[in-house]
Amino acid sequence: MYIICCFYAISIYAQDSDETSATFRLSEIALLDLSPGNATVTLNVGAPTDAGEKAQIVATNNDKWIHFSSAVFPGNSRSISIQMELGQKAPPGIYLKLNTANYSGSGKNNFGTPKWDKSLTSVTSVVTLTDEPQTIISNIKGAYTGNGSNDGYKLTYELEIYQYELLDFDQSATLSIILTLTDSNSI
Amino acid sequence: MKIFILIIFMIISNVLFSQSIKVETKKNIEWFETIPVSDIIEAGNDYGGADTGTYTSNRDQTEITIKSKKHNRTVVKIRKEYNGNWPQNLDLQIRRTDNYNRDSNDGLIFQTITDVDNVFFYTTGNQKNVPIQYRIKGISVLLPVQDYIAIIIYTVYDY
Repeated sequence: MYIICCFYAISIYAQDSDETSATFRLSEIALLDLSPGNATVTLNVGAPTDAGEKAQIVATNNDKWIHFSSAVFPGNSRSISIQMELGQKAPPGIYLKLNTANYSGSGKNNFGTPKWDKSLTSVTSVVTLTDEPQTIISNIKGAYTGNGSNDGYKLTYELEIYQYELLDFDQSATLSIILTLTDSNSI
Repeated sequence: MKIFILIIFMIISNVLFSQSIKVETKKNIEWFETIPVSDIIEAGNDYGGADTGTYTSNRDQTEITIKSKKHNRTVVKIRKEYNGNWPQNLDLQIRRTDNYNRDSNDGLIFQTITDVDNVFFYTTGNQKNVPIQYRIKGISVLLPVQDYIAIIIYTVYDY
């Protein structure tokens, strides 16, 4: 009996524990930028070289890359929308269009998908820009795209002539394009 | 009489075999790391710095005191517990930063705190205010935004 009690006492006191804690607080992140910077994209409609041919559209530096870093609460997601500044519109007879390619680069995780994602056929999505916001990439969760010259979503601006008789070759317009990374709160 | 003898046995065994461990935090503040957004240098990047996604506590964030008999050899083991999911890529590590008056070099290099008891270091007799430092690796924007809380449990055993 005494031996048992003795061993019992030993077993009780042969170890002891204490504890502390460590806490890591992560914040929401929503950072967006364009590469190469905010340099102007220039798109020109030129006269046809031969009679009977279409007008020529000449683009200079018409590619941009979207980079973003995003951290979201569980179940949330974000999207990127694009629009012209309020009240702006393309010159008569012309559509300003934006082509969003699929993601490429060195980033990680849930980059989202272009609005009309046709990744299986490598077809990219195209929107006609207005002064109303239009989603071009959705379902972005925790992700970073990378920050290199070929990281992220490649945007290509294009002009499309939809009505030749409205064209005025002496007219030009400077348009400001706004990209916004917003919470979608989709689950 | 029997009860008296029993109590004597328990006291003797307590004196002969007992050890205790006490964990104290620096200024009574446990490690709380708010990951600064400014550590993302530019859009498109993850948390940056020289060692990406890694954050380290003070060198003496925790001090542990072990009470044991003079020549009694003990081992300190550590493990962590947490609520909810602990991301697989989040690596919580520990080391002791001072080897003064200790009898071994183990525990001086950062090691991962797992969910089961693992040996931290061996020692003999009393040890007072052993300074402990922590490190977290794998902090990333890829992780869901929330607080990640780990309870770090120290247990001292006879060895």
